[in-house]
Amino acid sequence: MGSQHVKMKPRLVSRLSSEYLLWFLGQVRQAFDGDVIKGVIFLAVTQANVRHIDEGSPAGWTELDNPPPDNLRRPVSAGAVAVALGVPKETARRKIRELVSARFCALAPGGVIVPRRVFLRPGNASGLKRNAEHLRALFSALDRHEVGLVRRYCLAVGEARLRQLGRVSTDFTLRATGILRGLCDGELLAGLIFLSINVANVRHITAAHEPLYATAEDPPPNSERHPISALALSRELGIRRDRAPSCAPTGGRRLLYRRQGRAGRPHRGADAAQVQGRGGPGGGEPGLAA
Amino acid sequence: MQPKFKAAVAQAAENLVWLLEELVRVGVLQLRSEPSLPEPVAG
Repeated sequence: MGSQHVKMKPRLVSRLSSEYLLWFLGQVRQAFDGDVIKGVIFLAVTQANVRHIDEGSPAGWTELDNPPPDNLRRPVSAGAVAVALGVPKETARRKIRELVSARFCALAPGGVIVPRRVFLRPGNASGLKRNAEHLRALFSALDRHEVGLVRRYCLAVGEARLRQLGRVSTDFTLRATGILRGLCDGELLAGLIFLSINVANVRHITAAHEPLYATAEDPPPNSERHPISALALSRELGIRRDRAPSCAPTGGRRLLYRRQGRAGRPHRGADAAQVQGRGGPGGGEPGLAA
Repeated sequence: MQPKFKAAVAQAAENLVWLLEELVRVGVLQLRSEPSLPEPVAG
């Protein structure tokens, strides 16, 4: 697969994949009224329901119009979701209750499932197509920067296997949130906020034609990081502006934030970040895959 | 740079390798040389 290329340019690969990750999470957030935590819980339920399908020899259910039936979906408890994501059990219970009320989830023996009908809603297929487009863009950028590991491979033609692609993308996203939580004392929201800030700080570097600051030993200097305002951050993640996060890892906050309209000044009035349950722009369709 | 950030960068890169390897394993990504799948990833 050429993982040695990735090891040579891990910082570049990390930045490029973070852009994709943030896009994916943005789609999920929009689908759940701006509540990114609820969206990630939805992803975790979905993954727990269908993970076994792609284990071993893939059993099918790969196409847009053919999500796995409910009787193949393995229920998961709110407690298990809480443990998997590192969120409080009560938070997981409450969000899952809301998902059940909104018919995104259904009660089943031993827990909940995201039923097949959710993945047949209008908009799901287009979401999966967009996911493929963004993955193509990611792979293209890796190729452009001569990371190399994708050069020998291609995605299936047209819309083939897009549902399966979405399931793997969901797994990738959940694995990435685990990495982010590891940076932020296990707190999911803090990890997502950190991701948003970091992506915004270096987006211009990520978009550069040259593979800048690609190696592990060469992070972009602070002088080249573009601060993100509390307002922009609140829009990007759907968190309250007046609750600009304090949960970025120690040492980075002053550079990473600025008050809106006061470029270069740190946001000192930071408070615990909290999800704001308001709608984001647009309105995606939940559950890209499964 | 704190070691945990450096480690996280490496983990994120490894996660991308995992994604690609998983896509190959389940058959979503296939070798370009197969004639039935002419569309390049980077298209």
